[in-house]
Amino acid sequence: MEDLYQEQILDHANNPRNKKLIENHTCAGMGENPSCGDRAELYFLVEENKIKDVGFQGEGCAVSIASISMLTEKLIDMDLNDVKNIMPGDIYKMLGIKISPARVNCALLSYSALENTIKNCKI
Amino acid sequence: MHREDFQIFNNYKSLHKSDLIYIDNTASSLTPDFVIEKMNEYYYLYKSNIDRGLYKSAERATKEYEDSRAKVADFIGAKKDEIIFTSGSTDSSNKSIMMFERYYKKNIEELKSKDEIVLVEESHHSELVPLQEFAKRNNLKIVLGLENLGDKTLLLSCPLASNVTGQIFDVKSIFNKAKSHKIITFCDMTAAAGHIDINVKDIDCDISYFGAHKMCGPSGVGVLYIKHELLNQFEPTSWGGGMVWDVNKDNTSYRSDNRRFEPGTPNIAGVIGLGYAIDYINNITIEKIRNQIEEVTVYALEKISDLEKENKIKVFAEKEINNNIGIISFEVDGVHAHDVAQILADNDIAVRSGHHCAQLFMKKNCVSALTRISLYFYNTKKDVDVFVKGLQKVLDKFQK
Repeated sequence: MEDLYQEQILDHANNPRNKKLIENHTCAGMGENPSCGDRAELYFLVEENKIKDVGFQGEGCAVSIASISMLTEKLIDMDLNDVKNIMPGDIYKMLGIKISPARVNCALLSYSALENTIKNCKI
Repeated sequence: MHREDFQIFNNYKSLHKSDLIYIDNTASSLTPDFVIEKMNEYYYLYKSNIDRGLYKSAERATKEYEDSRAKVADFIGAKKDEIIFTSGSTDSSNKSIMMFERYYKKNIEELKSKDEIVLVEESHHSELVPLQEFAKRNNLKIVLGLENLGDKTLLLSCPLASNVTGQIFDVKSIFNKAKSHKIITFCDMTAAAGHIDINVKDIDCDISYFGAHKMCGPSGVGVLYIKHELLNQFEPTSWGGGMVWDVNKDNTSYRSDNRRFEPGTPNIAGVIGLGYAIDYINNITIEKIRNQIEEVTVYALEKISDLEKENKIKVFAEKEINNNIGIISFEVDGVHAHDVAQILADNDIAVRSGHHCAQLFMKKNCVSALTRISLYFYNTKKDVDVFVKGLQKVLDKFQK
C-alpha cells in the first residue's frame, strides 16, 4: 500500500504555509468536511484581479491541512480568472498521493473553501 | 472467544493476507455465520411475504417474523405487543418522537405547563436532532443536564450507555426521579444492547430503542419499545397496507395492536436475523460476553496508561470497568483523529474516528474529533497488543 503520509504531506501538515488571518481580506470562504466536521476558512487579498496575499485558518487532518497549505502557495500571484479554472483533479495532482474514497472529503476541504471564496469575490 | 463463529476473520485474511483486528463494534458488530445462514434460509427455503399468504412458505415466514418479536420482547423484558420493528435506531427515535408529538398535541391542555426537554451531553445525534426539531415545532426548550429535571420537564431522553466513553448511566434511578415529576422517559439503548442485561420494566422507561447491527444482527433493522399504557394512546405516523382495519373512500380505521405502526412489507430477513442474533447471544450468555469485554477493556486501558501518563494521548473513557460497556476513546497529542485511524487502518486495525455523532460531548470537552476503540466478546488481548503497536506507529510518524 502506498503511504499516504509522504514527506511532502507531513511537511505541509506540520508546518502549514500561509496559516494566518488576513484581516483586510477582499473575500473569504469556508471549506467544510461533512464527514468529520473539520472546517477551514480561506482569505484572499485581491488587487487588480490578482491574488496578492492568501491565508487560511482552521483545523483538520494531515491530508486536509496539507491540501489547503499547498493550495495557498499555488494561489499567490494567480489571476482570479485562472483561479476559477482550478478543478478537483488539480488538487489531487498537487497532493501527489493516491486518495482513497474515504479521504476524498479531506483532500477536497481546500477545494470547498476555494469554491466558496471565489463565490464571495465580488470583483 | 467464539471467533470460530465468524468466518469473516478467515475470509479477511485470505483477501488481504493479514489478520483483521476489528475493534469498531460500536459502529457495527460482526455478524456470526449462524445468523447469516438463518437469513439465507429465509431466501433459500421459504421466501414469501408475511401475514396474508396461506401457503407453507408464507406460514413459516410469518411464524419466524413473529417469533423474532417474542425473542426481542424476552430479551429486554417487555411484552410482545410492546415491540415495533423499524429500520434502525434512528428510525425508532424519529418514529417515537413523532408519535409522542401527536400525543402531546392531543393532550396539550394537560401538558402545556411542561415546556422543557432534558438531555445529557452524551446524547447521540439520532436522539438529539429529532428532539430538537420537535422542540422547534412546538416552542419547547432543550435543557442539558439531569440536574434540571423538574415539573417543567415534559420529556427526558438518556442513553443507557454512551457511545463515546462507554459510560453506563444509572437510568433506573434517573427514570425513577423523572417519574416523580410525571416526565415521559426515552432511553437510547443502541450502544448497550447485546453488551449488558436489559430490562425495560426494571429501569421503567416509557420508550426505548436499539438496532440489530451492533449486536450480531444485520443492518436495516431496529426495535422500538413503547410501554403498553402509552402505546395504546399513540397514533400511527406512517400509513399503508397491513396496518388497517376498515378502509373507505375518505376514512380508514386502523388495527388496534402494535402492527398499526408497521405499515408495508417490513425487512423480513432482517427481523428474522435479529431474532437469531438474540438466540446466539443468549446461547453464549450476556454474563460471559460481559466478562470477556471487561477483561479485554481493562487490559487495553492498562496498555495505554503509560502513553496517557506521558501525555502522548488523552483518554476519554469510563475508567470504572463495571460501568463501561467496552469503549475507549482517545486523542493523540498533535495528531488529528483521522490520521490516527488511517495509520491503524493501513495496519488492518478497524477503529472509528470523528465526532461519533456526539458533537455536544465533543464541544463540552473542547475536542473536534476522537479515535474510538469499541470491544466485543470476540476481541482478545492479542487484538489490543496489535492495536497498541499500531498506535506506536502513529506516534513514531507524527510525534517526532
